[in-house]
Amino acid sequence: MGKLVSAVATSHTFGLPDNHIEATERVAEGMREIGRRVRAAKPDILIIVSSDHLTNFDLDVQIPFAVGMADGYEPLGDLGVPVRRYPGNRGFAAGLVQFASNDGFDLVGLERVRPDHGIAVPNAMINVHADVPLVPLYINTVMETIPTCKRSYELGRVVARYIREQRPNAERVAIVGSGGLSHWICMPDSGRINEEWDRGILDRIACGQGRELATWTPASIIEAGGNGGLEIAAWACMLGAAGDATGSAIYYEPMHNWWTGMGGVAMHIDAA
Amino acid sequence: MQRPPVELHRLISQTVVNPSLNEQLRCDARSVYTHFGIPADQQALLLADPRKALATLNVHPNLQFKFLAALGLLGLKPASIQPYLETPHGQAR
Repeated sequence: MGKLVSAVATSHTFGLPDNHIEATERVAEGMREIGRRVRAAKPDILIIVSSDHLTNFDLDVQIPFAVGMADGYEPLGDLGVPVRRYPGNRGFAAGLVQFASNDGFDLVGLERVRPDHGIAVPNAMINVHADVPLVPLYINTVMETIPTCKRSYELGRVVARYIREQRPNAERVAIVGSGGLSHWICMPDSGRINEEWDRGILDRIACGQGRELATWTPASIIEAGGNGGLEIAAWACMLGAAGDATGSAIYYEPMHNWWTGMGGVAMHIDAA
Repeated sequence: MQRPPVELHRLISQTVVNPSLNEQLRCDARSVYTHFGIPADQQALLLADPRKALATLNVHPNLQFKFLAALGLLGLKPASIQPYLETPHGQAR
């Protein structure tokens, strides 16, 4: 049986420092620390869960859940992410699709995708040597009927069972929930941040109460965290995989000039 | 249920895979709109005030963001994480 050795979550956007150079550096250092913690767990597979930003997917065919099946990926290059090739893991992805199907999740397999910043920014922070096979797992919270946090949390539980029950002995898997926190994009509240909501998420996760996110409806999330806040479905997926683990908040900054509450957590997982 | 602006959504999605469209939009938006089959009434709104038109037409927020960026009308300036990435030797760049 395989083993989940690392579970983290982080925001995935970035902006100019403007007059907030120190806060920008704290965010960057927080993201780098998350990268270091994941690398320290020596994963053989890196699952990054995120919404696409309508760069690879479009509204003519709306796909809520999808997984990258390819042998390798080149990022889109947005937000300055270096365009270099990262290995994938076709066997892991194909096995996940089959296992999830048996468990009530119909994941669409992607043979070609150029990950945008949702996948690519945390990957760049973690996969410094571009040597850990990447498996992009999409929970597309930009679709018209979006996957709920409840459904996403359950998918995380399925991923964890897949790792335990189907993967080879000693295979080490890391999972990253990517997105959030509060942000309003092209809505009347554009630019708003809800720091109280953001810190409440980090506190719940630290105390091992992250499963509470699974009870939040899309409407309640939009009201409290904006349409961008819906991306915490990816965090819910990570939390489903992490089970009852507690965690540590690694960083939080309300970056008003970026329109986004920026935060990250690392779960306490036994990586031995 | 109101029909979404599907032609405009397709145009904006195409700007991601074909960035040269952005230059064409800045130079001759009407031709691009016509090529993508955007209805005349929507074209008029877009040509008069793109930002207001995107909201009026209920364009998807993520696509509004991309379109405003393509037209140089987005309030956020583009940024890069490259200076902040850790190098393979363990240092920030």
